[in-house]
Amino acid sequence: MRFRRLGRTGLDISELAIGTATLGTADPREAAAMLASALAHGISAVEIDAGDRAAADLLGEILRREGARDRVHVIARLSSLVPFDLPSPHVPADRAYPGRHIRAETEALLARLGVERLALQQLHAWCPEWLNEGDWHETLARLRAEGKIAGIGVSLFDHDVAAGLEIVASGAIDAVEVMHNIFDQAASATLFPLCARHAVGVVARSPLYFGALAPGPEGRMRAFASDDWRTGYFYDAHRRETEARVQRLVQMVEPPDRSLAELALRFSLSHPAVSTVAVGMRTPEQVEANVGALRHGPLDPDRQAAIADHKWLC
Amino acid sequence: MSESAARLARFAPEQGAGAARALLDETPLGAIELARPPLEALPYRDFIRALLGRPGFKLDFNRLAPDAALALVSDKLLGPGAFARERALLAADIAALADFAGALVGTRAAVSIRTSFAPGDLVWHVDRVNEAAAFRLLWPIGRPAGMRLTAAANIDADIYRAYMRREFPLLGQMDTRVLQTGAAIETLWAHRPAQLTAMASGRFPFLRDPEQEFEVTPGAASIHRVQTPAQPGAWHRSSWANRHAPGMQIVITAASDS
Repeated sequence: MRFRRLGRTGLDISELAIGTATLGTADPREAAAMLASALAHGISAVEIDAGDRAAADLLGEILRREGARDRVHVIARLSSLVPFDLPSPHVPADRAYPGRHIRAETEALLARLGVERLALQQLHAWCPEWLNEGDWHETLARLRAEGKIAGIGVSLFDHDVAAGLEIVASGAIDAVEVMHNIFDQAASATLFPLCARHAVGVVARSPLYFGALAPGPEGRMRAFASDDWRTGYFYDAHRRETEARVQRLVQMVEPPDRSLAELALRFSLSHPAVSTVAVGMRTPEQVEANVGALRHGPLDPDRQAAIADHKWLC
Repeated sequence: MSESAARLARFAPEQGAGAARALLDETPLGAIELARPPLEALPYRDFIRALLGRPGFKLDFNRLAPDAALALVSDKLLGPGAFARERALLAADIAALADFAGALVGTRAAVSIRTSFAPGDLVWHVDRVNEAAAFRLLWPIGRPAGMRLTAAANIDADIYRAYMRREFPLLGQMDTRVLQTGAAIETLWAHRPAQLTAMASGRFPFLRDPEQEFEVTPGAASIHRVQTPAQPGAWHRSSWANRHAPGMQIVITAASDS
């Protein structure tokens, strides 16, 4: 496992991070086996929604059993106090992320996980209008000074790369989380060079576009459970268009990559500004496959250029 | 939409703001149409045409009276004192429309004018504010096509939510790029042909029946419900035909908590 610097936190974390979006509903024994396998492979980063109590409880229990509380860097995303479907400047920062809420959720997550410090605490679905609003930054800076978090960050909504440009350049954050995959390559052109210039770390998420870039036979999207949010997200027209694009991409897979998922993972890690790529894993087999893919390192420039033609969601 | 497609019910301002409000509250579309003279018949047509020759501006009147706000725009874009008589006539018309819109909710309406085009308006949407009651009057002058409306029941809410999760930030970025560069939508989104096709036709995947859309008569004004915590909004979109000729849009919003 290779390690990269998480921006100004000064932490070196594994270039693969475990995404926990489905951990709360996972079989506890399977989840424990997955995490044990990940730790054995040297994965040292976990990404989590701070408001996902089920995932935090299970993760905390597994970390305790594995004796791994001091070996894992937790990258957290705060949940807004006010629910909203889309980033909205009409919800001011002091309503979405008041300081008291940030502190309460951060300390609750620390307690559930049984760790002393989070690697990163982030405001999710960042709105540029929040930069000079509210007491969120003051609160996070205080938590950092208290040693409860190592870094301050923001997490950008799907495809909302532009929202991160001003705050990255402002010096207010240590790292940023952003969707980055073959279909949405926008961050490569604008955000990543800025992050490199300002020493801001990057957590790349959704490298497999919610599973679509890890297709089944003939490039068909795998079926999701009826209670999986992706069932609705990939409504018929979206699914058809995605599958058509995936089927064209499948033809690009060649050794050393054994699958489109491997190619997609390597693509997400190919930009040097990326600190880690967070990908959901449920089984030890998925850990093995993902770790195996990254052994081959970043894609060469010619492959990256060829893949650039497959951008779609940017 | 076919040539014989239905039109919105017309409303004469002489019927009063109370009657307009009742109609707006009741109609499934949440919109009414107000007849306006065609551009050629307006006494300030030359002033409008001169402003249309300066595309891409937007001005919120804020607390300025219409005549002062138009003077600000005109002096800057067309030279000091240009079209003084014409702009006074236009200001009077805008003031009358703003008074009418304000009377719908018993408040002073906010006015803005713009000659820019936002591609995001090509996607079905509702306008939203946080006040309890709100309406928006649109008078686009010099646009080839009228605003399209459809009933809320014609929108599949689940698919719309999923669609906007994917598209909302991309549409916002497209609006910014078009405003800043004037580039063509077709060029900027050449890698997204399915999305361009939907924008051109209005046939988005969340629309249940594409035939159930209604067009405001080109050149007419309209008033539609704005979504608030207390009332549903009117679903509407702009027409693909307007992207190269956005016209001059007079936008009057009246919103109140009382």
